[in-house]
Amino acid sequence: MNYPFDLLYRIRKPASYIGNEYNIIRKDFKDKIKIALAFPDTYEVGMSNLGFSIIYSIINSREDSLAERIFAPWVDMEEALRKRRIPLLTLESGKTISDFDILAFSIPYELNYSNILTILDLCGLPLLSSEREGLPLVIAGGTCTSHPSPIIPFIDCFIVGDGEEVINGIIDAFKEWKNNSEQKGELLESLSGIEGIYVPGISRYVKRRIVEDINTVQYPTSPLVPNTEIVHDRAVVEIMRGCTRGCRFCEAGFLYRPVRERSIENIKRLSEEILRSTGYGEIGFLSLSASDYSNLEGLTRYIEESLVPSHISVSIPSLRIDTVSGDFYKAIGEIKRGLTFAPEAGTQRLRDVINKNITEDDIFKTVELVSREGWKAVKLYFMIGLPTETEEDILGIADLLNNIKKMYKKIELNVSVSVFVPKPHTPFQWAGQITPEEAKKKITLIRKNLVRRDINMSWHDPRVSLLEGILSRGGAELGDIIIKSWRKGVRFDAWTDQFNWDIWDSSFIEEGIDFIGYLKEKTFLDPLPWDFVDAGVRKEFLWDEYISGLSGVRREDCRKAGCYNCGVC
Amino acid sequence: MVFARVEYKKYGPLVFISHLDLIRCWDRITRRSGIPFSFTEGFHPRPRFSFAPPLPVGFEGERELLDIALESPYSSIKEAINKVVPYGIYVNNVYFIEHSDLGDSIIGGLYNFQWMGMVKEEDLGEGLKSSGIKDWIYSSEPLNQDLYGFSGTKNSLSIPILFVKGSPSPKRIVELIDGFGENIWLKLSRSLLLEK
Repeated sequence: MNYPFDLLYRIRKPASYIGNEYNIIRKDFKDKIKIALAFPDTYEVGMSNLGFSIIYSIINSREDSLAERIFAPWVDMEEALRKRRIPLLTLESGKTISDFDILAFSIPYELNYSNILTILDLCGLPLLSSEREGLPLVIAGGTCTSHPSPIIPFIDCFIVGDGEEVINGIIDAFKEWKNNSEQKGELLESLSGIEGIYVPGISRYVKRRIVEDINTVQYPTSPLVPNTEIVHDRAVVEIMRGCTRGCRFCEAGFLYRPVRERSIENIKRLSEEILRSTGYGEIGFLSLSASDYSNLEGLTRYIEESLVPSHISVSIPSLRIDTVSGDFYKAIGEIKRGLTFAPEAGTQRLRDVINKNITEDDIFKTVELVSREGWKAVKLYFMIGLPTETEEDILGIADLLNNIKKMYKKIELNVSVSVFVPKPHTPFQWAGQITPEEAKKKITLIRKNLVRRDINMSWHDPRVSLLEGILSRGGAELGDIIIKSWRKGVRFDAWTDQFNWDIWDSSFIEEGIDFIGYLKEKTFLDPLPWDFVDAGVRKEFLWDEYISGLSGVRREDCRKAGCYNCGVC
Repeated sequence: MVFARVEYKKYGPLVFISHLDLIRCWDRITRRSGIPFSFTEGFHPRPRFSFAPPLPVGFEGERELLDIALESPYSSIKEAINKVVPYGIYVNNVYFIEHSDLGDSIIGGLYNFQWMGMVKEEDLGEGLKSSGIKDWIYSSEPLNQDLYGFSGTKNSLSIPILFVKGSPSPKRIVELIDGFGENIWLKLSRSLLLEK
C-alpha cells in the first residue's frame, strides 16, 4: 500500500486509493517516457471513463513509455494528506510526480476544473504554467479541450480530439526532444507542430484530431478490474464513435462526428478478449446512439448465441426507443426495470427547434411498451431555457406528463429537469442561458400544473448549470476566478453535496466580473473564446443550423437524408 | 451439485474493500479461473456463493471461508484460482463438501487489534468488561521500527467474538480503544473459528 494503514483506515472509501487492480501494469522506470495520467474526479468516476482507459492502455503498450494513475482525492483525504505532508502518489508504484516526465489530465467536464488545481497542488507543482520551469510537462485531453480558455493558465499543452494517434506523436516528439535538448521551449515548439495539439503562446489555432478508422486503433483488451465499486463497473466495448442525428444542443454530437463504426468481427474479438482477461459478468456496448449502428442484428445474434449462454449480462445504452421492441431486450438478456427517454422539450414545436426528432406518438409508444412488458417505470429528461421557449412550451411539459399519467396510472413516472447550457461548437453556441431565478420560476410553473402528485420530478440546483455555463463559454479571464475560488475551498463542484456557489459568487464580485454577461445571447460577429479551435464543423454551418432551428426547421440524419456539408467529412 | 469450500486469506490493500466489493471480486475470480462453477438463472447470472459473516473494512482475514457451488468435483481448483486472484487474496486450501452449511460451521472469529497509543491496561479492561467481553489477551511490546518506520509501543488485543445475538461488534472495540486517546492503528485482523 502506498499510503499508511492508519491514514486510509480513517477516511471515506479507502479502497479508492489502494490500486492493485487485476491487470494493473507496473513497468520498470528505466529508459522510458513516464506519464502520470490524472483524472480530475474521484476514482469511481475516473475508472468509469473509457477514454482514460484507452490512453492508459496505449501508453503502456509501448516499450518506451509507461503510464500510472492519479485521481482527485476526496476532501477528507486531501485534508489527511496535507496534515501529514504526504504528496499525491500514483496508484501503480506509489511514486511522486517528480519521477515523471509528463502529467496528463483527462478532462471530460467543466465542473472538474477546481479538482485540476487540487491535483497540481498536492503534487507539489505551481498552479500556473508560467511558473513551472522544468518537467513534468502538463498536458490535457478530453472534451473540455475544445473550449479550453478558462484553464489555459494551468496547462502547458492541449490535445483536441481523438487521443489514440496523437498520444503516440507526443511520446515520439518527447523522446526526440529529450535526446537533444533541455529547453522546455523547444519541446513546446516541437509539440505545437503536431495536428490536434494546441500550445498556448505558440499555436495560433488547432485542428481537432480525428481518427479515421477506429477498427485500426488500439483498444484495451485487458482493462483494469477495480477492487471497489465504480460508477460503471463492467466490460466495455465502444461499438461506434460519433452521431449525426444533429440535435442542435448536443456537444458530443458535433465534437465526435463523423460517425465511425467498429466492425462486428472486431466487436466480437474485443468482447471475448476482455471478458476472458477480466472475468466481468456484464458487458456494455457503448455509442452515442446505438440504434444507428448498422449491424444491430449481427450484434444481437452474437449476444444471444455467445454471451447469454456464457452467463454474461448485456447492456446497450443510448438506444433510441422508437426502433426496438420488448423482445429485443429479452433477446439481449437485458433486465429492464423501465425505460429512459429524453424528449428534452414539451411541445413538438420546440422539439423541432432543437432538432430532437421524437414525436408524441413515439413517447406514448414507449410508455405503452413499458406497460405491456410489465416493467415498472419510465424516466423522462427535459431541459428548460431552450431557445425560443415560451410559457406554452413549459406548460407542454406538464401536459405531457399529465396525459401519460392519465393513460398509464400504474407506471412510475420519473422526470428530470435541467437547465439548458449552450455549449461551444454546437448550433446553439450563440444562444442565451436562463438565470437560476428564471429557472426556478419555470420549475415552479411545471410543478404547479402537474395534476397528479405521484409524478416524481427532480432537478439540479440551477446554480450548478450557471457555473457550467460560465466555464463553458468563458475566456482566459476566468483563470483567476478558478484559482481564487479554489483557494477559498471549492472542490468537486459536480457533486451536489460539495457544490458551493457562494464562494464562486464572492470571487466574481472581488474580481469585478459580472458573470451574467456569460449567459447572454451572441451574434455571428461576436468573437467566441473557442474560435481558435477548428472542431471540424464549419462555423457557417453551425450558424445556418442555429437560424434554421429558430424557425423550427427539422434536419434528418445526414447518413440517411444526404450531406448538409457541415465540413467534417 | 457439490460445493468447493475455499479457505483463503484477505490481506494487504484488499483489507479496505467492503463485503459487497468482495462478493464482486470473487464473482470475477471464479469466471477468470475457467472452472465450470454453477451459475444462477435469470438476467444477471451469478456464481452460487455462500460467504462467512462480513469482515469489517480494514480487517485482514487470516482464515476466511467461502463455499462455491459446482456440478461435480474438479481437480486443481486451488491452483486455478490462485492463478487469477488479485493481490490481496490467496487460497490456502480447497476441499469438497456435499452440503453448504457455512452458517452452522462458523461459530465466531478470533479478532486481533494492534495499535500504538496511550491507553492503560486497567482502563481497557474496564471498558471491555462493560461491553460484555469476558475473554481477551492483551500484550504490549516495542514496535519494530524497521517494519513501520517509526518507534513506539505496540499494543495487541485478541478477543474471541461469537456470531450470536448480543455479541459486541469489532467496530465497537475499535471505538472503545479510540475513546482512550489518539491512537495509530497498525493492524486489524480476524481468523474464523469453526465448530468442533
